[in-house]
Formats: sequence, C-alpha cells, structure tokens
Amino acid sequence: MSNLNIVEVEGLTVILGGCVVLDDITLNIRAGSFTGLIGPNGAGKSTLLKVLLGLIQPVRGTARVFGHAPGGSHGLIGYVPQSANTQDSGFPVSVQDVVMMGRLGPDRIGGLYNQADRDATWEAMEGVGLASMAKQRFGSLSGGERQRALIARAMCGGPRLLLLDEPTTGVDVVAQDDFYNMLTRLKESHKITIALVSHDVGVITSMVDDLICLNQKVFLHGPPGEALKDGMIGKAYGSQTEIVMHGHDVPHRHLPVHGEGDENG
Amino acid sequence: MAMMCPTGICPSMERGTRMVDMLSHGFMQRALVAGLIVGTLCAVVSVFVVLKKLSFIGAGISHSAFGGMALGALFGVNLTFSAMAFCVGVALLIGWLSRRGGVSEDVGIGVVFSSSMAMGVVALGFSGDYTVDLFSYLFGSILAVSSSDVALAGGTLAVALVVVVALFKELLAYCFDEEWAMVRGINTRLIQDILMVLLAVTVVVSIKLLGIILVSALLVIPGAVGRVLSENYRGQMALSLAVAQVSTVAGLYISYRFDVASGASVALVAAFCFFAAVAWPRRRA
Ligand SMILES: Nc1ncnc2c1ncn2[C@@H]1O[C@H](COP(=O)(O)OP(=O)(O)OP(=O)(O)O)[C@@H](O)[C@H]1O
Ligand SMILES: [Mg+2]
Repeated sequence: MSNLNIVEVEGLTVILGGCVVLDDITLNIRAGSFTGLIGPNGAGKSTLLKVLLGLIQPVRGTARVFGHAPGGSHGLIGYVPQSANTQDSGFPVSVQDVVMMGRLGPDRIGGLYNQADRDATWEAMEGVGLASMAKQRFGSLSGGERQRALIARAMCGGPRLLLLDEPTTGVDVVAQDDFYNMLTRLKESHKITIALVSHDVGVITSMVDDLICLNQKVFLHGPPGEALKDGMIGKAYGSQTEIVMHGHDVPHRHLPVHGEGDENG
Repeated sequence: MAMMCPTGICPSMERGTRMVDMLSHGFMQRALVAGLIVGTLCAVVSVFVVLKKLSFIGAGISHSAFGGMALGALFGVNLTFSAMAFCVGVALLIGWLSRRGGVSEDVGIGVVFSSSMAMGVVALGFSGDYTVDLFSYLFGSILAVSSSDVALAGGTLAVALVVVVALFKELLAYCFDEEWAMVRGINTRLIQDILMVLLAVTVVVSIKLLGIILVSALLVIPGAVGRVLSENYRGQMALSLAVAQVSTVAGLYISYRFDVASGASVALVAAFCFFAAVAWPRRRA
C-alpha cells in the first residue's frame, strides 16, 4: 500500500442485476483527506462505498482499503448508510443499544459489551447531541435524529476512515453545521480520512480537499477548484448544468439549462 | 393409530383436580419438567423469531419434522434422531434459499414445507407402520414424554443458552441491521445458520409435548407478547420467558385435567396471553 492512499481503486467494474453500475473506475483517496463524492441519482456512489466495505463484489478490477482487500479492515472503517429508515421502526432497541453496535467486531465475538464500549458509546452520543435521548427507542426518533444516531454508531468504533453516504439527509441546518464542524474537527484531531457522498454540491465543494464526480465512470477527480472550471460536472449529470457561483468561487447549486440540455449526456 | 383419548388417560381413571394430585404421577412430573425446559427454550428462540420475522420459517421447519419422523419410521431409525437430522437440514436449506435470492423467501419456505410433509405421508404409506401415534405427534401429548426426552431437552437448553449468551450482541445486531453486522466483520451467514439450527433443534425437542403442528405457537407467541408490551429487547425477553412458562404450566394442567392434547391447551393459553397483551391499553401508538 502506498503511504499516501488509504483507498486505491483500479479498473473497478461492478455489474448489478445485469446492469453495469460502475465501469472501469480508477481513483484514490489520500490519507487524511476529505473527499467528496458527487453524481446524479443512480450514478453508483453508494455502490462504490459498498464495494469498499466488502458488501458488493466487483466483476473486474481491484479495490484496496488500508492495503487490504475490502472487508479485511472492519475495525478501521466507520460507515453511515444512505437511509436511516431501512430499519424496522418498532424494533425494541434504544438509541444507546444502536450506537453501541458500532463496537462490534470479529474479535469481540463471545463476550458482552464492557465499560470501554459504554464510554465510547456515551462519547459518540454526546458528539451528535443525542445523550439525552440515550434510553429512547430508536424507532421513536425523528428521521434526522436517527441519522445522527447512525453517525454516532459509525464514530464509536474509533474509525480511521469514515464513509458517509448522504449522512445529513433530513438533518436540520443547525445540526448540519454542527456535523460538518465535527467532521472537520475529527479530521484535524484524529487524522481521520473522510469520504462523503452528498448532493449538496455547495457545501461539499467548500469543504473538501478532493472532489470525485461519478456517473458510472469517473468524470472528475481532483481539487474542487480546478474541477469545477471545465464543466465536467455537467457532463456527469448528463445535462448542461450551470453552476451558480457566489462568494469566492463557491458554487451554490447547479441548475439544468432548459432548452439546450442533452438528456443522454 | 388414532386414539379416542389423546392423553391416553382413560376418562374413567381417577384424577385429582389439584396440582399436587397431578404431580403424583410420574408422567406428569416428566411432562412438567419437560414443559419448563421447552418453554424456556422456545421463549428465548421466539424473541429472535419475532425480531427477525421468522415465524413462517418456524412453521416451515416444524412441519417438515413430520417428513423426518416418517422417514425415521420407514428406515427404522429413532424418530427424534431422524427428525433432528431432517429439520436441521431443512433449516439450513431455507437459510441458503433466503441468501441465494432469485426466489422470494416465503416461496422457498412454502415449497420446502409442503414437500417435506408430502414426503412424510409417502414414507408412512410405504412403511405401513401405523403404530406411530400420529395424533400425539401432531398435537402433543403429556404421556409421550420419556425421561430421555427430558434429558435431551435439558441438554439442548444448556447448549442453546450458552450459544445465545455468547452471541447475543451479534444476534441482536444481525436481527436489527444485517448490513451493519457485515460491515463490522460479523459472519452473518454463520449467525443466520446458527439461528436456523437453534430453531430446528428447539422444534424437535418440543414436538413430544407440543406437537408438530402446534409447536409454532410457542415459537412465536411468547416473543410477540414481549414485543407488544415492551419497548426494549430486555423486557421482551423477560416477558417472553414469563408467557412461555405460564402457557406450558397452565396448558399442561388443562391437558391433564380435561384430557386434551397438550400442544392444543398450551397454544390456547399462549394465544389468550397474546390477545390480552394486544388489547392491553398502552402509551405507545
Ligand atoms: N442490488 C441491485 N440490483 C440491481 N441493480 C442495483 C442494485 N443496487 C443498485 N443497483 C443499481 O445500481 C445503480 C447505482 O445505484 P447506487 O445506489 O450506487 O446509486 P447512487 O449513486 O448512490 O444514487 P443516489 O444518489 O440515488 O443514492 C442504480 O441504477 C441502481 O438501480
Ligand atoms: Mg446512494
């Protein structure tokens, strides 16, 4: 493994249900970087994260995470899945129980949770402002609160790499700010590497070190400033898009330009 | 084959109505001990059955025990042994079908379950062995429980408790969020297989008392009552144990007193608990 890259993906092709979802993807995620992943719906962003987690097997190409094949470094990865609503909302577990599941691991089989687990769980819940709801049933939380609980679950294992799939969907603006501040803090203090999928191009480009724009293929991979200049985002999104800029080269949002859009990209 | 009197206690036989009288019979002592063991086992397993929505799988496995027993009768193998082997096989097959995809899980279970019952009927036909007391195997009997059955149930309970305690946090995570368990490096395939085998052995050691058809009542209802009345799995587990014990003890008493198949009386008491729990006024919407 290169010292510089925590994730190395080469020639990765994924086929799901007979459809090519990722086509010959090559990309890296640098150690200590904050990488943003953008792309339209169905672009394969979640699929890419799942490959890195070892949940989906590619048909071609390789992915290496911390120098290992995916699935070989669970303890080092924190993951926030795309939707917090997939779990059965009546499931009889408290917020604390769910967050504590972040401490599971193959080396932890056969024992109960210990004090260190409880401390880490508590710290993670405080980090997302859910400590006061620790005993509440997970399913009784609002969508945004659940999302925060899942962020805490990802954090309490002490990850070196955070894979976040639209983690702030349904999270209110204040909590979003808190969340992004928390990420920046973590990145500085713990030297964590972060990969974040988001549709919020504005926020993401103002925060990240690297931007990857994905739509079946990699359309763009580099520092966000350069990336935005050459209209690659538009190509990835399959239509002419206009990036509304404001302030110092901060794109606010991208809008399709009506009348001259090439729908098929 | 079929008997007029499912418990085998002749109606004319002198029977006391008090628990003490009931316990003066050796068969009732065995049935009661077996009931407490089987109740505990079913209560623990039913929590996971309810959490992971496996009730149809439970019914599928228990019905397939019929096939296993009939094959045992055909080949002259011990029926409990053949049912055990068959049910564990069926349980793992169902687990494999559900992982493989392609066909939806309930369809897979439906096929496995009906075909193994059919196989049982065919095997019984070939064996021509009508000494098998079909009625008590289907609906349970307090007279059917031998001391080796009690020993087998006790051993099974001990092993099951060790497994469940050791793997509790993994089992819970698997039921709650399978993908997350995989992300954390838990072998969810193995966890699923363990749960399936647990379900299968629970079914088999419960059959003598509860019957092939009615064992599924105790595989679902105790955990369901716990889930209805509790916000947390700990409370669910405690309530599940309570409901299973009350159902078996009361059910066995009713079986003894009124001469009905024990599986039926236990299932009815459990069902009563379930409806009472659902009707119970709650804060939760
Ligand atoms: N299990 C599956 N079987 C078949 N196709 C699948 C499967 N999972 C995903 N896909 C397809 O793969 C494509 C990429 O899906 P993915 O979830 O990675 O997109 P995404 O970029 O995360 O989109 P979104 O922004 O909507 O979250 C989609 O077209 C989807 O239909
Ligand atoms: Mg996605």
